[in-house]
Amino acid sequence: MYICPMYSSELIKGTLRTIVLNLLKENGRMYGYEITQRVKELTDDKIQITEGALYPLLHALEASEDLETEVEFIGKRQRKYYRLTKQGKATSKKKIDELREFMETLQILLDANKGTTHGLIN
Amino acid sequence: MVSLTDEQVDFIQKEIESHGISLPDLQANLIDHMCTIIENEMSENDDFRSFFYSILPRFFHDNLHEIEMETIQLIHQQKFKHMKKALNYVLALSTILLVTGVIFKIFHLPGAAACFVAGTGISVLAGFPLLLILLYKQPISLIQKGVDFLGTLNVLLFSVGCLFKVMHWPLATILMLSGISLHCLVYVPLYFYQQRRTNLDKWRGTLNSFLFLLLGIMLFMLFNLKVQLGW
Repeated sequence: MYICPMYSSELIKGTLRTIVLNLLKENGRMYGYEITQRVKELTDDKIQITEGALYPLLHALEASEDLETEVEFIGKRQRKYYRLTKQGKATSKKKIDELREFMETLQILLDANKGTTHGLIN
Repeated sequence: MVSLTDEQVDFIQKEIESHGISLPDLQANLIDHMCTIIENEMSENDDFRSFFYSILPRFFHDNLHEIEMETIQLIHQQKFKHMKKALNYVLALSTILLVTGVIFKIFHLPGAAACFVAGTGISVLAGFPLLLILLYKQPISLIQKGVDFLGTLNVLLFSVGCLFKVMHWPLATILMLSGISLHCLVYVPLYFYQQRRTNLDKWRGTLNSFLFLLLGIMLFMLFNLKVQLGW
């Protein structure tokens, strides 16, 4: 799904939807290439979204009416800009909250294990 | 930054088409994406075609067509999600109507017949087609699909037969007996075969087959064929 020079794909599998929705929430409207570049830029190349993963997701989000598109012509070719719909904004908030909560829970779990380990040593 | 000519854009479009991308929206996205990469990353001295073929593998693992397959699969998943939701509502409504019909019947209240007809009608006319489509689209083996389809058909025949019986309509016994006969003679053997072939827990498959057969025989024994079919 991803090319991740730093992280294994298993580690961040399932977060692509949230990453894309969050980017569109922050940036208004974006096109495919722009999304891949923005992710690379923000993560210092640690996460790179492949086109093979991005476009199926964008089309699925459009089909589920979370995204709407605007087409602009650049010479002969079309450029599709994606933006969140009203429903997409709610989905985005839900997904981001869910991920944040998951990360907090994971942190608690990791800290708890650390505490147990220390306890055993002491 | 180089600027691509219309001929070069046409070339990219033909290449994308020849790699099995047929969805117009996806084609447009890929053309723009490839053009943008070339415009941003190719230098004036690079050969356009060589550069294009060098960036193409970025888009896939085995072949470009897999993007289209993945897109179709994700869109279908979305559709199935809605269909599954609709099926849940249909089955819930049908159950509520049937249970209400039973309660009305027990207390001899008016409207029992209408509830039975509506409950069965909704499940047969809306639930059954939805269920068949979902079964058909499931990524399971043909034999598994056959078993599921047959099981659904048996339940359908038997429940419509029950409705006819309650309403004192003709052909009730034939419908119910067809459902039970299909269940015992075709569904159970096929289910047994499928479980033996695919299920790792063969003992559970055998036990389930035996219980299904027992259920069919018990239902069959409720019929007095001499009276109901004039034998």
